[in-house]
Amino acid sequence: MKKAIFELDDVFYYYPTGSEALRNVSMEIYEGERVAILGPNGGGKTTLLKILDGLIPASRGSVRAFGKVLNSATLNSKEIYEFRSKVGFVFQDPDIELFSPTVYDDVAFGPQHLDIPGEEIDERVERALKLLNIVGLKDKHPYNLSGGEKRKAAIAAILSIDPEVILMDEPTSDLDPKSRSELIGIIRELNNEGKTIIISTHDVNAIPDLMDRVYVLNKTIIAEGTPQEIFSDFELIKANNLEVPEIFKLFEVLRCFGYNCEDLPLSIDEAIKQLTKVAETHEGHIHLHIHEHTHDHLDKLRDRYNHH
Amino acid sequence: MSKFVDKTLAEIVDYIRDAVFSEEYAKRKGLLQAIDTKVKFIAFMVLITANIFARNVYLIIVFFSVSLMLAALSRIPLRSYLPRVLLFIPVFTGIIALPYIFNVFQPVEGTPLLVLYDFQRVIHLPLLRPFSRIEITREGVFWASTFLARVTTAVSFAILLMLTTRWSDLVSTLTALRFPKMFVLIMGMSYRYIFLLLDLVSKMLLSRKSRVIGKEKAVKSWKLNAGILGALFIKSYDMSENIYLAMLSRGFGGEYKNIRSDSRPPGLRDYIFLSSIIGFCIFALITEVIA
Repeated sequence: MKKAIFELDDVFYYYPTGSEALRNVSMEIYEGERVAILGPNGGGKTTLLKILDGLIPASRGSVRAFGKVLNSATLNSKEIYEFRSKVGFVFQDPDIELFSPTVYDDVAFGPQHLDIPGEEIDERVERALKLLNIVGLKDKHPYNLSGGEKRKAAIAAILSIDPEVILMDEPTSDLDPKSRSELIGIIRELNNEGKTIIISTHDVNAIPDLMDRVYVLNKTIIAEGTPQEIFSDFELIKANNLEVPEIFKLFEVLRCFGYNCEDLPLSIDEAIKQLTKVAETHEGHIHLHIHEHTHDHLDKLRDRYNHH
Repeated sequence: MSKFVDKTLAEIVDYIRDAVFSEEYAKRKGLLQAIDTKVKFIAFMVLITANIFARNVYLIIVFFSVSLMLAALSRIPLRSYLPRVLLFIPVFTGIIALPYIFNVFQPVEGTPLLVLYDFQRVIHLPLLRPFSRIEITREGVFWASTFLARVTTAVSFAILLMLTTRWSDLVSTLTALRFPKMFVLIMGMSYRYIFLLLDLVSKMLLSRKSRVIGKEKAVKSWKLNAGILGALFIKSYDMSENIYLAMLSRGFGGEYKNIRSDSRPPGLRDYIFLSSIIGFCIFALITEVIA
């Protein structure tokens, strides 16, 4: 049985103004998992990540990390440094994380403050820079980096800590397609190395490729399931202002033309697998046709996704 | 007025982007770029201090000539160096120094150069010496021009140091010279984020400009500028809070630990450079005293 890394029970969080950010949040995240937190803007995703990173204490409820309670007392005690070396948080805005005169200094900041010996700091920094393919940027000032480079530098700044868990707040936002796909590859690689990945995101097209489990959060946990379960629940998606992956929409269109399948694919890989399987069982052919309800179904589909 | 704000901000942001962060001049091969940063920093501090102690305006002009000569030897084009030195800071210093050329603001009676107005009676005003005429005095003009020349020269040295040194090397030097770590951290972060926020302001101004049709009235323009300042304040407050959290997340516990310290020993060329600068300053100040 897998070890639970985070256990949240009935967690509430109130902003200093008294307004509610999280209500009755209960969740469990296991070692090596890839979990997405999906939800509308203002739904409390960033606040939840900050609680998981031990940056702010929950106002009510219990938060346990690696079997230990995480509350105001532990956050202010020396015990927290052990936790900090196990959990890394990549903020949404990389400018928040890159405050040093050079990329090297930023990447070295974590190990320096977690009392890692000097020679090992250099090794860790080099390793993190190599993994993200940004060795050439190490002496540059963060002001001079592009959006994608800043994001990679911010991730390297966390990887140098060598954490067991990586929390990422909207990692693919504001990235060009090339940087986005590179980042997805990096996240996958990190998970293959055994790291637990927790991501808050709006990028529904990245979720199927990356995530094992999805939590839908809108101040409280609305739903939890596999990406397939979540994206197949249209009412849930609509009620929370969410989107489904483009591939999923395309296969819904194909369904209107008579394409027969139980589960709609969510990613390119799944689509290739499914189309191959269907073609193989139908002597190399995939049959599409217009039947009497095709146009009605297409109209309903357009309405559903507001395509006029 | 809005145009003035727009232009000033755009100029500052462009200057920083081109001259400081692009490190264009710091990468060139020249005299100052080849000198060890620690030695260069000390040499410039010596030059600035000597310049402050110089009382004769002609000697200050000599110091200014030294800065021009060093700039030329460091392959910094004077047409981009001089405007930076002569435009911003001396203009503001000029505003501060200007009143002192008038007799009414001076503690003792001076030698009149030009009488602007004669009241024919003694005027008594609070905080000021009694006076009967408003006049420009020789001592006032001399003091104001010395002050202006001194500030301009000090600024020219500071700008030259910045232009010929990579920001990261400067920070390492401050650490190596045992400046308090927290001071170095705060200075580095202020430097980084002031320009990030300036960038944001210039984008906000540009976005406002793109939506304005016709001529804006001054009052309305100032109201909009105040709105931009308010938004900037909220943004910077939010950012500072998140930066602190990002530091905490990476193990920061209130004490800044920095391994980046320039520990390379200076070479013979660096020592010769520093000795020449110190020798020149001592010679210049002694000559002034003797003269």
